Amino acid sequence: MNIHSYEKIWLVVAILLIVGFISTVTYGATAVGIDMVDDEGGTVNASALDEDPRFSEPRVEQVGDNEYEAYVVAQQYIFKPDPITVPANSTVTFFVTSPDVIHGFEIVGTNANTMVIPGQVAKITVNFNEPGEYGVVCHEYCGSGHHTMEGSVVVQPEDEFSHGGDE
Amino acid sequence: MGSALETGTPSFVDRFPQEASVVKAALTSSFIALFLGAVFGIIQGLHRTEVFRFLDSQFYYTVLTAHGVLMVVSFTIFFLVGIFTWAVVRSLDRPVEDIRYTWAWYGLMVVGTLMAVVAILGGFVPSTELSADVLYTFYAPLQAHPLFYGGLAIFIIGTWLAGADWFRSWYAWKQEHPDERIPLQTFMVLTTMLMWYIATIGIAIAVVGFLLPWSLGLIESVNPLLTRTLFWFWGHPVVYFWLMPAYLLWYTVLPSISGGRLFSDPLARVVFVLFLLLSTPVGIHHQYVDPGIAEGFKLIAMTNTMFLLLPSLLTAFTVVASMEHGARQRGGSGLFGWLRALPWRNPAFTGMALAGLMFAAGGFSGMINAGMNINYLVHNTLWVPGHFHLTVGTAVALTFMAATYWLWPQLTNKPLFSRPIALSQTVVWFVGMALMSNAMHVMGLFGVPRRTAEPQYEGFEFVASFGSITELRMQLALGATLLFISTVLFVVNIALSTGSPTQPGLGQPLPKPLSPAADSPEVLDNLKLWFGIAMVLVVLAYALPLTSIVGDSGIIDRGVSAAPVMIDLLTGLNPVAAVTDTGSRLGVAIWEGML
Amino acid sequence: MRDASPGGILLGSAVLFVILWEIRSALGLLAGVDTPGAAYFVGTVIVVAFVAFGLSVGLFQVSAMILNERRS
Repeated sequence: MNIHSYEKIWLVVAILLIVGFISTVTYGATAVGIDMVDDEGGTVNASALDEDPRFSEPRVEQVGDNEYEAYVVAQQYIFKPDPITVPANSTVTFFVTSPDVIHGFEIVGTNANTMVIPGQVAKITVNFNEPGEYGVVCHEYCGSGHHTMEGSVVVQPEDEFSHGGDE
Repeated sequence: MGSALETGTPSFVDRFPQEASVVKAALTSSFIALFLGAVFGIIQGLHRTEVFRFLDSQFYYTVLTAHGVLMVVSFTIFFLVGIFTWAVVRSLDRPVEDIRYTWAWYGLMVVGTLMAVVAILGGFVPSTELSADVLYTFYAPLQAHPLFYGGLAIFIIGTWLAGADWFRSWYAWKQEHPDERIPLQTFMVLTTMLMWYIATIGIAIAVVGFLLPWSLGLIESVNPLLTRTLFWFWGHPVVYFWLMPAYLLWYTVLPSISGGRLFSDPLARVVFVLFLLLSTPVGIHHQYVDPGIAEGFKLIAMTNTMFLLLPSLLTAFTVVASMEHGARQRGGSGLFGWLRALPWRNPAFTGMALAGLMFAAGGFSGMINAGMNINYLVHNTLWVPGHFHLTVGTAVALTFMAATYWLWPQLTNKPLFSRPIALSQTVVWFVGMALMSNAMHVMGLFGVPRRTAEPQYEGFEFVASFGSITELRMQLALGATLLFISTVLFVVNIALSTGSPTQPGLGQPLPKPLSPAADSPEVLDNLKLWFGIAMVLVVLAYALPLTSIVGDSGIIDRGVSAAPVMIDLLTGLNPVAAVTDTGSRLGVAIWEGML
Repeated sequence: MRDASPGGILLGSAVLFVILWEIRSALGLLAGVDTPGAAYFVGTVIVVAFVAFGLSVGLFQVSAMILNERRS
């Protein structure tokens, strides 16, 4: 096959670019340690969330030194709890599910972004540093009131934080 | 018709009048869908930016479903079947095997489209149960009326039968030309259709196996993760179904319009084989942040996706090289000076060139989307529509419009109504899309979500690192308006062309490539081999994820109930009432003013 | 004496406008430079109009703007 020399150069450059992209993404996944949302959250019975000890009372719970778990329910058209209150300088693992349709859960302005699928539990671990307030948006169409669906994450100074987070 | 031979090349309609009728019908259906889709598009663009709202926001999702389906199912695929029929007949130089069969699959596609569109438009009339406010992706548990799913299924079956038609033509041609390479355009059509047959396995199972029976009440529930994964099994390769006709035009028509010849036939074949192999085993890159799918499967999808960049990067080289060759044939010289010698006054050329330029930008934003962990920043934000309006919205749509300017006279023996309007149309599209897509990309980075009627929230503000969100909304609305104007210019120009007097000699022959098919290894034409490898790759990419989803949450998930998308009659006006309500208030005000 | 056609000027103006406008996003996102929207827009339009005008009256020659082009 007759391949022009410029085309051979281009082909090599293209492959290097592709390999470069794969490497940077793999680096992010391994060395930097950014995990993707996956099947670790397990499954759940979407029509029996009130029987699940986590989702019957959506809340934030301390599970270790500066380690918390947040049990969040996304449903038409609210997030529970609202607001989700966590302390500064903490690592929070969110467990998010839905009793009805597919929603999105995104902490606006950050890379905390996951789909929420009924029957599945989305598990995502987030590091919170400074105190502040963030909006939470549902970014997957979930019905006629989708655009009203919002929540918030409040990151409180450590000394102010009290357990529960669902006041 | 003797005058055609006297004064110039016979056109496609001169040589194949029956086939030209089918091609014209397909293209006409395509343009009707484009225009309707554009009307819905401008409504959206003005509504979500708060520039002009006349509908209650719940109807935004009806508009959005219509815009999506009309644009990326009807407009693109009707155009594809038209152009592929033309390409096969032209390159094999033979009429279709049975014109009635050809009209039959076209008719099925029309029926399917009408069913789905009626279901969608039913969403504007809340007093009926007919609605399909589920968006183009129709994720369960949101549930549309069965007419919607049935219409989509019939449409897809129509496309399957179309592919069979072209394979039939090729087999018949092969009997008479046993030792010849497959003509390039037919090769492109056949490899695209093989890819389509593989790709549609996912959506066929999702729709016919689950969603349609579920909407009819025949099965009690579905597994939303499973149907979503089956959707995206198809949802990625469908974008190549849109792109490959555009590539066919860039490879086989654009070089000729540029004044030259295709740089390399063998590389063109390689590119299409790569698409056949790699288009489908990547769908999970649309599900990077889905729960229920192991990270390993996402990593495999990421790697396959990155390799899928290769055929597009190769295309960039060949297209530019062919354009340069054409320009130098026309007398251009110098390192960059040849650019000036290109036929910029030809709207068919300029449209395709601008489309290709914009595609480069779209390709780069796609690379970001593909970057698994980077995807966290952009998933489901307005960045994503920013990306795909550059790719399907420009690379594909603008190329289709440009190709129409070149092809339509050959289907009708009538010249284009206005060449200056056509040229302006392509430029307005380019500028409008640049503004709209730029605004979308930037707003996406600031966290603004897609698919949302009112992205203006009460509890928080989006923070812009430069300018302001309001400005970006204005820019989006301006871009959308320019795009709508451009669409009108296109449709009107084509419509008015039917009034032109018939003219002979409008045929445009296509020259042979510089590096011909004979230069390429014959194995490239071994379609069975490539199809086989493609199937293996798909099985490798999808067998484990699908089995594990079914294993974890069942083939159906009884815990998940259907959520039929019915507009809530208690809240908000229906759109017909909204418009007549405004109208009657205006009328009363004028009347009182007059008294 | 100009060497650019009207269609070429239209097209070139459109491409130049898009390039200049995109630079604003690049400045904002990559360099953190905030530019006032209306002013930047007006400025871009002025630059594009000036280039278009210059090309149409022969003030600039397209051939002189392209590297390696021999002036005839």
